[in-house]
Amino acid sequence: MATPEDQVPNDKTPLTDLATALIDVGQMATHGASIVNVFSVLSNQCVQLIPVSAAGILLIDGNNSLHVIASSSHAATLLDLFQVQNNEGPCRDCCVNHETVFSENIATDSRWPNFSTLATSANFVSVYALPLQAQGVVVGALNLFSQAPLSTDQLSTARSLADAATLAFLQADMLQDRLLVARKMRVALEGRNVVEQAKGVLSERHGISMMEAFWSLRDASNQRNIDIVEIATSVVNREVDL
Amino acid sequence: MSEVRRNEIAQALYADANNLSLGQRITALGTTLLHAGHCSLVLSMGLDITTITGGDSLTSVMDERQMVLGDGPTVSAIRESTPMILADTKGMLEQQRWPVFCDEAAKQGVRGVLSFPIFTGAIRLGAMTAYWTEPHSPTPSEYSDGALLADVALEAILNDLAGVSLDVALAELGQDVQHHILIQQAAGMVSEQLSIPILEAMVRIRSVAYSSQRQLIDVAQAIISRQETLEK
Repeated sequence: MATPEDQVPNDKTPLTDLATALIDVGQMATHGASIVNVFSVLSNQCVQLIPVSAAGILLIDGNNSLHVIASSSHAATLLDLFQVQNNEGPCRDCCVNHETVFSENIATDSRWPNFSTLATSANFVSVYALPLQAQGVVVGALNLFSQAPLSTDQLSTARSLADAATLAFLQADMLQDRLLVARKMRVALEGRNVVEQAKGVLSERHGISMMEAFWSLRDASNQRNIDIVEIATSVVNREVDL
Repeated sequence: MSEVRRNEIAQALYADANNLSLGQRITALGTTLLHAGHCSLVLSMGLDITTITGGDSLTSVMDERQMVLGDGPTVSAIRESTPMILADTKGMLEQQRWPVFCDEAAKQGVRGVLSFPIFTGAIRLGAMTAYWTEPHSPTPSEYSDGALLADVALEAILNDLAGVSLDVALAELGQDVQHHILIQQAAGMVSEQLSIPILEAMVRIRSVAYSSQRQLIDVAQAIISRQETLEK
């Protein structure tokens, strides 16, 4: 028989993994973590929670150019970069049309022939591009690459993570201010550039791949609890040795 | 679209290239685009802010005071790698943010300031700063023109340091290549290979591309794939 206590929410009710992830991202953003750092964490959360094989986050600047800011894997970076360079792919369509663009079987999709070939050769079956958008402003897109089509539930998890990315970028009260959006975009882009420069330094120093260099930056950032852009700056300026 | 705008600004920057120095051209164009009374360019090699170029007597005083005081929008723009908007030197928020600078600036008759850092990744080249004698909140189009000019100025300064000729520089200025991931990575690699600062590495890659008549991106790709190693 049910007792009244059974109806009272237990304060020890475990949060779902998604809720925990969203709270983590919110806290990072309000504690002043760089966008690159927040987006790197979010890409990895997509891989773990939805789950997908790979995820990437791109931002669109005032020139309507797309910029890859963070990804969970090297393959995702390459596919995102391909879209940036070749004006072709679901992410570009998503940013232009302000809507979710996807393909459940990319191998048989004729909309983006070159992108499809590349995605298929990386062993991805389905791709999704979700707009990062709030109040009609599209600031970028979340790209997901998976081995099979996503279910409705998985898509709604993805949507929540895309919203978290948007909020982290805009921080709610800045929505109306185009100057601030343009300013944050530039900061995010240059933060990413610092990380890329540091990847180059580490890759050369240790004879490792760019992806391994990224992991080493990300791990150092996590272990020392220092923003990844800050760690990267110290590496480039030779103030720390990883 | 502003790719067109970026190109227009690049063309304008090189229009008078034979008569004026690069610093003079950047500040003159800044004054026009931002509808400002005065504009200046500060170059910082490393974290020490040293060279002041372009501008006039008022901006020289303003820039020098900022460097000495370590306070002001130009100093903040360079340190934080973010554009700084100071709408009114007599405004409360502004006086809280830059107390010493606002006092001095108001005494000199300066009311509005807007400063754009010139930088790429961890490379901080300096800042371009506009000054107004009236309070001034930049319009979105002034702000985006200013940001584009700072970006074009970055390419122009790097080309200048790499000894790239005017015609080649002009031909390539319209392209937004500096922010490309591969160029950033290649600069990091060269910096480590040759044990030189990242700015020098970026300039070296540009000068190799220029002297071998190749695209910057192709040189970057060759460096990353280890097909090409730059000589000491």
